[in-house]
Amino acid sequence: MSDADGVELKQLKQAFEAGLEARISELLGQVRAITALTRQLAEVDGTPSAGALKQEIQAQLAALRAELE
Amino acid sequence: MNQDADLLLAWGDALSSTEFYLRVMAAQHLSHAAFQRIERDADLHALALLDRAAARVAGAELEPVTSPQRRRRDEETDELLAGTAHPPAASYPTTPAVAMDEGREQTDAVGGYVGATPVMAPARALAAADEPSWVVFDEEESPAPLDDSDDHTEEHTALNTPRTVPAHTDWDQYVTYEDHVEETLDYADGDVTLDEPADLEAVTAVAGRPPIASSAPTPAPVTRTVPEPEPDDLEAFESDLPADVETVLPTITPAAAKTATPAAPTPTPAPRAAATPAPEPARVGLSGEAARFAVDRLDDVPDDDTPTPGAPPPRVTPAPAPPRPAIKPEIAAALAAAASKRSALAERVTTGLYGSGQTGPMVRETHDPRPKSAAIQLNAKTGASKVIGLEEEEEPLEIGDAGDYGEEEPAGGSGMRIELQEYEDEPSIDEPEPEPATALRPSAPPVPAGPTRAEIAKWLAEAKASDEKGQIDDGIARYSDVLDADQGSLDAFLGRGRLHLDRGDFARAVSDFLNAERIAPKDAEPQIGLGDLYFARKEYRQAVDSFEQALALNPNSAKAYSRRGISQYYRKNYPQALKDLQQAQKLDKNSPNIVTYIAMVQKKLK
Repeated sequence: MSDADGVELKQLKQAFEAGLEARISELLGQVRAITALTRQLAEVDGTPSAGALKQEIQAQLAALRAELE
Repeated sequence: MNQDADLLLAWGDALSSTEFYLRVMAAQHLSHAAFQRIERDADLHALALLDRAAARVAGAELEPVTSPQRRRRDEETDELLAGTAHPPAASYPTTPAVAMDEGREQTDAVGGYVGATPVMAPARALAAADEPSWVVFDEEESPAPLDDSDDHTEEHTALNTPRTVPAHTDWDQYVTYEDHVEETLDYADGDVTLDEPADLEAVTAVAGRPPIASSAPTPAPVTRTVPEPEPDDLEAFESDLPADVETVLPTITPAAAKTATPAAPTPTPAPRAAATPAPEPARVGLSGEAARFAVDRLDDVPDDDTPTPGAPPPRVTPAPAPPRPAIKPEIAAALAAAASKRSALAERVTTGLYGSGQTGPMVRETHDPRPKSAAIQLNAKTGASKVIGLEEEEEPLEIGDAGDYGEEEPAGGSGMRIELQEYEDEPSIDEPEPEPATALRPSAPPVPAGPTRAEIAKWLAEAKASDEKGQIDDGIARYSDVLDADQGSLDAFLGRGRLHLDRGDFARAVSDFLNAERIAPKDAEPQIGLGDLYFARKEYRQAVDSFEQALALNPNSAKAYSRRGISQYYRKNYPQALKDLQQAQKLDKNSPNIVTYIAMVQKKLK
């Protein structure tokens, strides 16, 4: 493998890691947000805002599932 | 009973499992610095999403994601950051999650979160806005990543970029005054020496609320806003310090220095800003004396002073500098001894060939454009000196006929002759040669020899004994001792990883198993450990994968067959489970519970 190939490989590796880092950050953020919403839903169940909150959670869960797939 | 309890539990399990996967993936494939960035950025993403949700779900009081575990993890992150070139705790006190938990708000230019929207309540106030509130992360001002060997190709320009802090920044949100008072009391009690610049953080922070400027990787020059004492006095004092002043200063506790200060009038209760000098940023290099001055100034801070939340530290006219503190007798004696020693040294030093010419005799010949230093015989007692000849000539000078110089020739003489007179060694010159300054310093304590192999093996045996007794915490501590002495101990990593697993600390367990895998990539045990971890989390597919890797490394591992069989059982793959368990029994009849497992599978197959 030539030096140029090595440099290119290194750049590819860095790009992959940067992309993976951003991707995982985003997914983790989604997971944590939904966790917080779920916890909140357990507390506000029965109140008028519970329905909207549940829909919000389901929407975000669907988005997360789509992201993960 | 919550009608959606089952649904919520299912969501919670799925989310917890997903988060675990994501974090393990990041830990496995990315550097530690990247892992920490992910942890931080994920919180910001979560906050932004919660803000969006708050805009859509009217009336819902969304709370930030906090838990004791999260708080502990964030504190650990802060500890890691404190040991690096990152802003220390004073300027980067906490991660966003902890800040939220404590009801703080992230404002601009604090901890690198430039432009960050104040979280939660302010964001809810903006819920009606068209654009969702989004946390903006300014890359240039971001907290620099940890120094990671994997990241050596990155350009950490942010490290060299001093931060500017707007005047409206509320420092009291991030550094509590009580913390500083507590630390200050520690200083005043002499618990902490003040020679290290790092120890001065609290002192300087109280004195002037300095701007964040400590993010640069190189610590010098130290930027502090310590109320500088009389500069002239300080310089004069420091110039008088003996070369071996380090042998004196460590014995001076702040309390002792404080007692040497002339009694100052008791300050009347007043705002701290009025009692402290102006927090004008000044770049000064702090010496031990400056630190003592700072401690003395802190005494002027009234105890009942409390910061005003949300108010910037007011700028006030500098108070007049206090009088120079008196020097303790032992310091004065040391200074006097050093000064006398220095003067004695000066008397024994010639000025050199091109010296100043004021203290040494010079001789100049007519054909020589430059004067030459004369060889001199010193008399240390009287300070008198006699010229005995040119420096380059060792013999007495023969000047020839005195008539050449128009002088009277002595009777019977043929000229003038300078006789050398040999002086006996003066007793004062026999003063012992001064030792180098370094020799005067207390010698560093000998570095203790590391533990021997036998000792490490003994510790490992003790750790295993604790492990077998079920003493999890003790076993973890003992395994950690072994790893402190030997970072390459496979057994210690495996043992500690299993104890972490028993305790349910999956993150630490996976870290230990991955370290074990790094040490022994051809060993099946780390893979079995990872498989057990997945099994404990009821992630049987991943567990089977790990056990298969273990079997690829060691096809005769009864343990791997047994574990894989049990995992297949829970995956309801009973034929394969029976096959694996029977193979495990064939390899080792004494495999734990193997007969029971086989009976369980056979029952399912019927």
